[in-house]
Amino acid sequence: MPGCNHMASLLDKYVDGELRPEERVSVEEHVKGCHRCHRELQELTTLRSRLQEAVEEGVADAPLARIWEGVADRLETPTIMEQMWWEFKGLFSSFRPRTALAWGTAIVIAFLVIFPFVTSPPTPRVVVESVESEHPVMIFQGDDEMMIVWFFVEEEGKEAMR
Amino acid sequence: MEERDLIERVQRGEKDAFQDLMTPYQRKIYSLLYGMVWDREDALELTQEVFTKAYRSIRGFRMASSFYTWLYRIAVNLALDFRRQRMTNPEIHRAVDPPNKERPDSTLLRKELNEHIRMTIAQLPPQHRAILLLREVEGLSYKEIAQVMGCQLGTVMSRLHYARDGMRRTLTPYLKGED
Repeated sequence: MPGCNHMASLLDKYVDGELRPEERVSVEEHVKGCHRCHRELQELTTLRSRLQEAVEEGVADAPLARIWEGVADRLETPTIMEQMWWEFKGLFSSFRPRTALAWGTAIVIAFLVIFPFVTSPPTPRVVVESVESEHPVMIFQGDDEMMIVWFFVEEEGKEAMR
Repeated sequence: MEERDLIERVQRGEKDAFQDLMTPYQRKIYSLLYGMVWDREDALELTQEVFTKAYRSIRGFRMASSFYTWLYRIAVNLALDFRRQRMTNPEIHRAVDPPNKERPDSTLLRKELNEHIRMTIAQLPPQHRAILLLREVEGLSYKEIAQVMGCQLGTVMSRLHYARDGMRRTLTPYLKGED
């Protein structure tokens, strides 16, 4: 027969109907001969009924009919998203082609004027290192993590690079 | 009319079908929320909030899961949010419900026991409380509770055990010698 420690994990499942038939039989046989587990099982079932009664007392005279009044009120009140959508639609409710064209033109011009100021200029490549030697070396590093290494070799009076 | 048909009608925008769809659940949702907040007016307001949210988001409901676990999930999440708000705004706490004098069978002992239950549940972590109520009052299986709470089956079992253990330790005098 399984011991009480093993039973403790099964008693919850027993009262919840979550055991396989053979496990149920095993629990029932154990409980018959074990006062402690029998009492624990009783407490679990009593706890359930007490809890149900306590909740039921609060629910018994619950004003359930009022639920729908509140739901109707809430559904009539638009959500923030709905309000924003209606505001947006309202902008176009009195649509006039000439006004729209004028607004459109103004927006495009404003965009073209402002665009160069708000876009950041390209980051110039910077010289990270230059080495003075027989063959000068310069190392450039860009903001795109690309590195370019230049070797300067003088050949017959003109500068060549490799 | 079958629940599935009602859901599809509401999803198509038929507002009238919504009440037919929700009526079988209104008492269940209310009782779960009452157990979570232990106040009739708060439970009523939360139930209204759950139904409103369900209506607004029902288009996103796919028939892959059962409707009631979807609904319970909304209810539990709103109840947990509500508790968090109450924790941060304790001054808006309402008093415990006054004794109901109209009911002759409400004995002092029963009142005392219910008050003990209320206080003991209030001490449980909110997630444990939700799991306890979903099992003991709503009668959901472990698998259904896991779906509602969005957690593993093992988590459901351990939290349920922990919650029951806490309740039993506090309520022992009321649980002995019964049945």
